[in-house]
Formats: sequence, structure tokens, C-alpha cells
Amino acid sequence: MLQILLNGLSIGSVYALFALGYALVFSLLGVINFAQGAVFAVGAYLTWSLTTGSWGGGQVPLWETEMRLPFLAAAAVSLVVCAALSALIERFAFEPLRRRKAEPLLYLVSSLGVAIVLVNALLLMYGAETRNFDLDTLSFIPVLVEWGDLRVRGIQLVILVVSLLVLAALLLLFRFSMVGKALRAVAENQTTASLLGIPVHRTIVLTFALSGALASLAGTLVATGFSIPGPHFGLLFGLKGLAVIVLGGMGEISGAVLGGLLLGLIEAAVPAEYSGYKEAVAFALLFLVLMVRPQGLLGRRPLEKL
Amino acid sequence: MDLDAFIIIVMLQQALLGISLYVPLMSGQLSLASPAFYAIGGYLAALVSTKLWTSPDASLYPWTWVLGEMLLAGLLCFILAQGIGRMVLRLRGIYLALATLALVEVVRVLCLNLEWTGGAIGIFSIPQVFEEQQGYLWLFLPLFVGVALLVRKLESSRIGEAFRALREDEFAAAAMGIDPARYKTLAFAWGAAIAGVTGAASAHLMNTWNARQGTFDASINILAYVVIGGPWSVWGAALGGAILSALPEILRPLQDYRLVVNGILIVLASLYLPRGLVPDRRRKRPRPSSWPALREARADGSAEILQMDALSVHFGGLKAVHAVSLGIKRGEIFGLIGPNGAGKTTVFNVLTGFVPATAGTVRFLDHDITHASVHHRARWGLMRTFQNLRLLKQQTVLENILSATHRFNAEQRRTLFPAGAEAEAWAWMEFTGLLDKADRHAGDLNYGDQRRLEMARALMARPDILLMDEPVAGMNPNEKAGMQALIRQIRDRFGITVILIEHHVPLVLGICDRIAVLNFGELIALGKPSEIQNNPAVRQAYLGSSEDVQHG
Repeated sequence: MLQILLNGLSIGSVYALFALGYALVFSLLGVINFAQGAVFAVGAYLTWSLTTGSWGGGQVPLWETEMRLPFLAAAAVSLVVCAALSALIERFAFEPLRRRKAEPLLYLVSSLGVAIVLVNALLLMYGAETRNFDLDTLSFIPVLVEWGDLRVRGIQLVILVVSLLVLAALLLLFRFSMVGKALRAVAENQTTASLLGIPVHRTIVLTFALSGALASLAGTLVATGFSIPGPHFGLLFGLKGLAVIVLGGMGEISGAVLGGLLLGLIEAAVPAEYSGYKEAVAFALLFLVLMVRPQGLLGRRPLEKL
Repeated sequence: MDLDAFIIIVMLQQALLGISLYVPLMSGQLSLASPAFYAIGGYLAALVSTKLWTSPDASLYPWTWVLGEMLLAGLLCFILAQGIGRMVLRLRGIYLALATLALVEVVRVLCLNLEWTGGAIGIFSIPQVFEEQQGYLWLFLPLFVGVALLVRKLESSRIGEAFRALREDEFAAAAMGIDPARYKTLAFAWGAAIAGVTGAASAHLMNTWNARQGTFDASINILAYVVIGGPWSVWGAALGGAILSALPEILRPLQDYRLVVNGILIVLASLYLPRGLVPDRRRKRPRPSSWPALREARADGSAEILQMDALSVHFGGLKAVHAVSLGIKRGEIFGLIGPNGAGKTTVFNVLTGFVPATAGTVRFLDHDITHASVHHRARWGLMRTFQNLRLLKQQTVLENILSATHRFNAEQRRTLFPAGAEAEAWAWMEFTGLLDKADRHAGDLNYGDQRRLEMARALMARPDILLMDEPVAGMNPNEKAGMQALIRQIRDRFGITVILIEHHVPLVLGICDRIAVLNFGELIALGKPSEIQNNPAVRQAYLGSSEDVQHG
């Protein structure tokens, strides 16, 4: 039981981390950045390449270099690159639409285009094979931790602790810092926020960068904990992230966290003999929750004024 | 295999899937469920043709069986979607999109794991209908033409009109007598049936059918077809599907880079073609040279037409309306006034069914309507206008007025509008002074014209009672005087009972037969304008005093 709880919280906290990126953008602009899953994949591959020194392997021939960064440095570089990538996506796929006050659907389609580009670029570069991390680079993490009956992989504990720390830090940041206040003001009303002297555009770019960084961190954690089963994995994970934020209530930061943890726990509770159905659990759950609460668990029902 | 013919078949197939997403969208539902029904249709065809049909020799699969499978698949998906559509009715926008996407994933995983769907391998050796693959052109081409023409016909039908009204504003549509649940479920089920039929035909084309046929990436791709092709007409959806599915083939010289370029083109299209390849056409209709005069009617002002008995609406602890009892006489112009927040609009909302009553009853034409839905009340003849204007903004003035005829069935329309509904609509435009604006979009009108249009739309439905929520708000003095005259005519010439919420006191005192005053949700005065004018309680409520604070 405790085993399931720990497994569930571990993967659930990564879902939460990843979904937070969606929730931030949605709460700010009311649109979904479908490219988030692709950025997740970019982050995972980048960390892998930087630690193993191997690049390419798909259409691009495999190129082995001697430059291998220690794991933490690689993760940090990947984080920064993905933050920049996400900001670039905002610049080229979102800002033009924002300036024209386009329909939310168009954002979905343009970010879908970006996701297709990124995933297929990864496919060209790395091919579709599964990539595993070099265990030597992770030797500072104990392989197995045992407490009596409880056996936990060290990496799972690391995932859990890192994710929870980052989540807590971010929730505090949004609650109490000036950045958090600016974020909430821009989410409420962009025009009013800019009249109050809040740099609206910079806040938006910053939010995208932050969501890119979160995607990269989630990508690195999942890839080290399990493996990278090909670039399309990013899209599937992206879809799960969407399920998480809808489950929690769109645009609710704490909803994304709750939804992620809940999903992780429920997935971990699926018995091994039904593991084939595990992928459907997230979506069956999502469907059921929406039937009962159309606005998600923590979402507020919009008031219609007649 | 002839590659070119195959590309055309795929284009037709994807165009059909584009249409299957477009049909629910016509009614404002962003459903991504098409791949699920496509997969179900395909499995049905695959199972029937591999399990039930035993070929005496290696002959081709009979035509009639394929058509039967397609019919069966369409029917099955239609029925399934009726059930699912009812369940997801309450969901809007992105929530509906995600719920239907969840459905696609659930169906995919089920098909991947169930025994009778063949697991990961799927069902293979599905018998062929044609000697060569290009023969399927003769299956997909007629199917596409048939579906496209049917949907085109749907667009111009009254059902299409109801769909468009729902897409723009569900509340306004319901207030015009359109049943949102019924039409939304219908649109959802038709979209599903189209996807199912396409799936059944595709199973034979593909030869093998497995869980890879209906995935969430397909959902998103189909959405891209419709958005890029243009979500306004069947041709936009079809064109988007045809072009985007042909793109990878057209880009074949780029080899491995084609999918990357494909993605770039999708980004560019969404940035630079915001209205889609096939934009929304404004449907201009010529002004007829003449139209019959409006049918007049008089009302006798004795019997009560609408009764509220101890009616209450509480929101948690807030008593928005508390124990209000009122009777409205037929042919009356009745004013409902009170300070801001007195509960006037809430009274309108509970009378028209937008807000449930906490306690008490509403009787209309001697029927208890306390629990009736919005569209039922509208159908029985209880119409309203909205304080915050709820017009179909993307539609023309004429189309807005025509949307109000959904209160009547075909037979009623024939007797009520002998010269056709459109002629009657022109007459109402003349009555409200909107003749020159018939082809303008409602959203482009100025404020006063929008208010007049709301009134014209409600009058087109020939209500027994018209509830007008602040009809002269934001109008200049001239317009106010004009509106006052119109309201008087509504009663005098057409016999329509009017209940009026208005802050403009001279208008209320000038035209109302009786006035009720609300304060903090309670009825504090009722009587003729002269009585209300001199009522001390009313003066206190409006001008305020120390006693007022105790209430708050």
C-alpha cells in the first residue's frame, strides 16, 4: 500500500510539474500551448545527449563526442535551452495571434504545428529507438533504498523530492512575490495590467520560459527514471498533461498540482494484470470527473450574466 | 498500385473526417471524437467481413455487404453518440474537446487490449471489394459527394439555422425556443455517424484494422483540417482535409524533411489565414418589393395571464427574490422597478427559466411552469430581451429575426406566415426601423439598433408576454421617445402583454398601467403610476435613509 503510494506520488509529482507549465500559460492567455509535450521531449533528449556525449543516430549519423557533462550540469543546460525555446515559440507562434486577438482555436492549431515540427525534427535526428541513460552518470544516486519491507528505487525518491521542492517553491513564488502578483494581474485583464505599469509582454514571455523550463525538468526526470521511448512519447505525455489540468480545473495552479498527484496515484494503483489498460485510466478518470464537475475539481464555474 | 489514385482516395477519406468534425462544430461543439467512431466503424466492418462472410472461392467481397456494413456502422455510431452526446452536453469549449479526446484514448486502449478486436495486431486479411486498390475511388467518391451534399442541405435547413444560433449563443437560442440538448446531441450523433461510415469503408481499403487507426494525433490533425480549411462551411472542412492529407505526398521530394515542413506550413496557415481557406460568406438576401401588413390583434385586459405565487430565488444566503406574489393581466404594460440589486433581472430569469425557483410557483396561461425549461417557456409564448444584449453577433439582422421562428412547428408557421417567414421579418424590420440594416451583422450595429433588433426578434415570435430588460438603456432622448412609442404599439396593435424593467423613470411612469417596486428582493409597493410616485416607502428605497442601512 505504502509502496503504491510512493510510486504514485513519484510519477504524479512529475505530472504535476509538467502540467503546471500548461496551467500557467492557460491562466495567463486562456489558450493551450500544445507544443509543451514536444518541449518536454526536447528537454529529455538534450539531457541525454549532454551526459552521454552521443548526438544523432536517426537520419543524422551518430556522432560521439568526448564532451560529457556531469548530470546536474546537463540538466541545467537543457533547462535553460528549453526555456529559451519556449520563449521563441511564444514569439513566433503565439504573439502574432495575440496581437490580432485571434480565436483560442487558432493558438491550438499553430502550437500543434510547432509540436509537429519539433517532434519530427527529433525523429530525424535521433530516430525512434528507445534511449537509456548511462547509469554511471547517475552513480551519485543510490540504486535501491530499503526500509524494512519497503523497496524504492533511489531515482524515484530523487524525482519525488525534486518535484515537490520545485512545486512548493513555485507555489510560494506565485502567492507572495511581485512576479506572482504581476502574473495574476495580467491573467485577470491585460489592458488594466498594462495601465498599472505591469510589463505585460515581458510577463507573458517569462511565463512561457518558465513553462519550458518545467517541461525540460519533467522530461529529464522521466527519462532518467524510465527511458526515452522515442520522440512521440512527448506528445503522449503532453496529452496526459492536458488531462491533468482539465481534471484539476483549467487555469488553476493548485488544480494542476492536485490533478497530477491524483493521476499518478490512480495509475500506480492499477493492478499489474491490467497494466495494458493503464494508459486509459487517465482519460477514463478525466471523462468521469467532467461528467460530475464540468469545470474540473478545483475550477470555478464561469458566471453568465444575462 | 496507382499512387495518384490512392492519394485521391486518402484525400476524400480525410475530407470526410473533416466534415465529421465540422458537423458538431456547426452547433458550437468542439468535439474531437471522430477517430473513436472511425475506429468503431472500421472494427465493425472488419469483424463482419472476416467472421460472418465466408467466401466460396477467392472472389471479391460483395458490394451489397459493404454498403450494409457502412449503413450499420453509421447507425451504431449514431446510437452510441446519442448516449455519449447526452452525457457531454454540459461541457463547453476546451472541456468538451478534452473529454472527447479522452474518449478516443479510451476506445484505442480498449481495442488494443480486448480479445475480439485482435489486440495489438488487429484484424487482418479483410476481404477486398475491388481487384485493385484504385477501385476504392468508386466507393469513396460517391460517399464523399453524398455526405457533402447532405451536410450542405443541412446547412441551409432550419436545423442548420438552429445549429448556427446555438454556436453563437446558447442562451439566446434557448430563449428563442430552440432546445439546446436536442440539437447538440443531434449534431454530435451525425458527426459520429459520418466518421463511422468512413471507418467502415476504410477498413476494406486498409486491409488490416488495428488500434493505430484511431489515435489522438488523428483528432488534432482533423481539427487542423477544419480550422485551416475554414470552420464555416462543409466546403472549408472538406478542402482542409483534402489539402492537409495531400501535403505529405506533395512534399515527398523533401523526403524525411516533409513532416517538419508540414508542421511549418500548419503554423504559417494558422498565422496568416485566420479565417480559413474558405471564409464565411455573408448571406445577402434581396429586399422584397413589398410585404404584407403585420397581423393585428387586441387583448382584453381582464384575465390574469401570468401569476407568481410566493416566488423566491435564493443564492446561498442571498435572498435575491423573496416571496414575491404578483399577477399580470393580459394586455397590460407592467413596470418592474427598484434600486440596483433589487432583484428585477432575477425575477425575469426565474420567469423565463434561466434560474430555478427556490420556492413558490409560476403559472402562465393557467399552466404551472415553475419547472419548465427555457425553450419550453419560449415555445409557449413567453419571450424576453436581455439587459446585456444577446444577439447572434456574426449573423445578419434578418437572420437574427428569422431565428425566432423556432418557437413554431411547420404547420403553425404556414398559418402564421402565409407570405413566408422572411416577408414577416421584413415587416418587423420596418416596424422597428431596421430596414436599411437588414444585411448588416448584428455585432456591427450601434447600441440603440441592437436593442431594437432584440425587440424585433422577440416580436417575430409573436409572444403572449414580452419581458423587456432595460429597453432604452444607453439610448439618446430621441431614441428613447421612439422606443416608448414602439412599446405602446406592441400592446395596442398586437395585443402583446409587456413587462418592463427600466431605470428611466419618465418612461415607466409614462406608459405603464401598473408598477411593482422591488427592494432587496421583496415587493414593497404595487399600484398605478400616480400611486407609486407618492408612495413614501418607494421614495425611501430610492433616495435612501438611515433605515436603509438596517436592511443591508
